[in-house]
Amino acid sequence: MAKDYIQTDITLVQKSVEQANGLSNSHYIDPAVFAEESEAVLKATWAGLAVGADVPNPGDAKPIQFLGIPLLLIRDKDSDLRVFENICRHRGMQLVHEAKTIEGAIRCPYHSWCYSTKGKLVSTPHVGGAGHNTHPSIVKDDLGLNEVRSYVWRDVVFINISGAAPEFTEVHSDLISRWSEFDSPLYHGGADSRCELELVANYKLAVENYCESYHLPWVHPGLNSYSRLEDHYNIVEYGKFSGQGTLVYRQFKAEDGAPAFPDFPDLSEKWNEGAEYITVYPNVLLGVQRDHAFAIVLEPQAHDKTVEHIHLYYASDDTDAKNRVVNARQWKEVFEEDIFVVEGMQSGRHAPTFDGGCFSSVMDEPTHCYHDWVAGKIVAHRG
Amino acid sequence: MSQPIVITIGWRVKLWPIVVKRDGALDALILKAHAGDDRTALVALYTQAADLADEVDRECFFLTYAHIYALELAHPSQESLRARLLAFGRE
Repeated sequence: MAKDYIQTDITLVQKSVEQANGLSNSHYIDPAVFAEESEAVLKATWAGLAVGADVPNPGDAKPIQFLGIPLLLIRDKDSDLRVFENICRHRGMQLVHEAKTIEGAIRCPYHSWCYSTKGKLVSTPHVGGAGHNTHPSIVKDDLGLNEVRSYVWRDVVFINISGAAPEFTEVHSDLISRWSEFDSPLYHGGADSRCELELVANYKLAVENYCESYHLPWVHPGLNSYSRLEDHYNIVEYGKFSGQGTLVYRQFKAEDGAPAFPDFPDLSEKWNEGAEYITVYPNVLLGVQRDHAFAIVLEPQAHDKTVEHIHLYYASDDTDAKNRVVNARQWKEVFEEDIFVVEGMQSGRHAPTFDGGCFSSVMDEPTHCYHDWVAGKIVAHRG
Repeated sequence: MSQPIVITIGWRVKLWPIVVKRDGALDALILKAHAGDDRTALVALYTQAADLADEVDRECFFLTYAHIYALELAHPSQESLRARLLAFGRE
């Protein structure tokens, strides 16, 4: 049940950036509010779950808990990505307990009901008695795995738990259009191009920090030599997405000084030194640059616990491993520099008189844009 | 000689109250395959148990196991096993 003081905070959040307060403490430290917000924000919209590279080959399956919901990410025999509830339709037993390749059918470890990789129930052993594998009351066509609505963009698997959100391509049409030049094949760098960071913080704080460039000279001083604060710009689309861009991106160079990785094909001059870093609300952080891209899926494990799943992508499946390793290490260092900030803000949310804070209309608008979007989803959820 | 057969339901090995006339060595092999989670062997062994069964219910009982493990593995025999069950109206 919503609490009155939270609704008051929402009203303040939706004021103009000059006048608004941020979301109140309870949105970061109260499990009950997190539960409500999960329904309004994470389940009602298109949330990031994983990446396609998690299940690269047909039959690959990975169990994932999302907000406590047991899900199964699987690449079916036709290479289509699907997300199912990871339970047997019979007695609700969890089907797959560890990442594996499904060779033929998914067999429930309880009574051995079997499902195809497309979710179809294909066999119900002994359901009509020993050696009798059918029964009139068990209609296989009605008992396939429950599929969760999903959409893959830039290799990120987005899911809509409620099933009621508008189409992904409709919701994110402006962002898809904005980055249409990058609509070319992405190649995950493999094991050396992925890592995880655990945060003792609410996932929204990672988004808020990612969206704005205000913190860069203080938290990432290494950037000051070539990527100064004034070289960045805000990206703000109220009700849609936000982030930041830079005008001075430099390609990653190999030891000999030459570009280490090939560019994505057919990019315009804008991207010679341009790069953009945008949050796909509510929980996916994306970056595009001429020679590589990244995706960070924020896994909201609890109101104060988040795992960042970081993935680097290239324009070719034939890139130099040594260069990839160095690139991944450098990015990880940058992302690690943000941890103390995000966790520090989480701790700060326990200060009882903190009112959600204020925003610089010049520097913090991408962050306010995100607060405003979250608030809007909560208001809509409350009806 | 009558032998109790031990079969697997799910991951758990249980004693099933079915007595079949056959070579006790087959039981041992089935148990060993379960213990080693050797599902390819289980397809063959349960098919063999079905072939040795002296009445339809027992045959279908064992065929069911062979078929399920074959399904799980995409084993080449899955279609023929399914066809045998279909012929008895069991699938």
